[in-house]
Amino acid sequence: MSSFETRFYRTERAIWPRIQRNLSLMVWIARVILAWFTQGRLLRKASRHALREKRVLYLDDLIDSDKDD
Amino acid sequence: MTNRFPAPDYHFSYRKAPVSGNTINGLDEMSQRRARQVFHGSGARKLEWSALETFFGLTMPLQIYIRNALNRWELRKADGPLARKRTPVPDSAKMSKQLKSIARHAGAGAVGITPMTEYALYEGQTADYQSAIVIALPQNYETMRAVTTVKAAAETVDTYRDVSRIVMALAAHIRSLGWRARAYGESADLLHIPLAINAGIGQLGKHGSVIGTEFGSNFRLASVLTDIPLAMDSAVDIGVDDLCLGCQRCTIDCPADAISERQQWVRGKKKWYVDFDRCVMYFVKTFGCGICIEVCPWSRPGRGPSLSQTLLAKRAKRDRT
Repeated sequence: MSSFETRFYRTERAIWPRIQRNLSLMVWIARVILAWFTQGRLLRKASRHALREKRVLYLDDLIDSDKDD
Repeated sequence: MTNRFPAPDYHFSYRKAPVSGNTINGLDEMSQRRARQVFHGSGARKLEWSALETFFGLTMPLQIYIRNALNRWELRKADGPLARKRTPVPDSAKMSKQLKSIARHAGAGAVGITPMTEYALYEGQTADYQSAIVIALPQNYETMRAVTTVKAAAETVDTYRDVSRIVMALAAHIRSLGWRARAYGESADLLHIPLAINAGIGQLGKHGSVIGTEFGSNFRLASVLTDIPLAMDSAVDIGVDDLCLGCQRCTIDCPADAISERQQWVRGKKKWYVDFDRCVMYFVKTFGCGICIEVCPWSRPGRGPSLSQTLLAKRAKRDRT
């Protein structure tokens, strides 16, 4: 795992590393947004059901804490 | 507790509770050490409460979620190449004044400069810079009165975006002079609060946020770490402890009952501390909460400077008798 800074901050003057950075950041953002429509949809649905049925939603059952972003 | 805000009952929980955030934060620890990340992370390591953070993010309305994701695109400019020729800085005070003026012109509400300290970094992180320029950007008070709603959450996200833009512009300016500078906006890699206190932006309030003279707690922080020679500011005493010792507004209004009436030992320092485990559940339920910031009497526009004067005058009178 590496931090956002390590992955996407560039101090080189050359243009190519910055283009590479921009492309990988675009992919990263696209994956983050996609997660809202996929994993997020399931979570929101489960959350709504739990709220309606007045029961508790256990996060460890739904979210893999060991998974990297 | 007032009934103006949602009740602190939760339809989400952990089957196996994580290590308490208070333990990770060093509550009741008498020796000084660096902080450890608990909730908002940079991605560098897996955090104890990461499942709750994932739930928080993914259950946000799309309008907030997209804003957050797109802000990351802008943050790519937080660091960059240096100008080939370094501009000498013979007068650090003049340079400080110039940089503060740039930040204020860009919209900053308060600017302070302090030497960089390792205690502004989480354990295991490094940032080899001489000083920190801390920027406070006020939020719209009327919008923030809608705390616990999506409307207030959007204002918070937008303020983080705007304050990030200010520090990124400031860092870019410093780099154009040939000096290293990295902006830390909406990032979890830096503890802005200890830097803000040392830089004279304000003092730590009972609710765990900085209270500044002019805007109370109704602002968001960002910083620039840099090596350019600068004149330093000092911590200020504007009477926050005098207010917080007697005022119970945030403790009463916090539905999660997370705010303590007394200062506590945290990583070797006695200070105001908010119960993480209680706060974070309500924070997740209410789109980032913000009640304690909104109800703080100091946050009301125009009230801070006179409140500070009154509190300091009262203390001086008490000390004389």
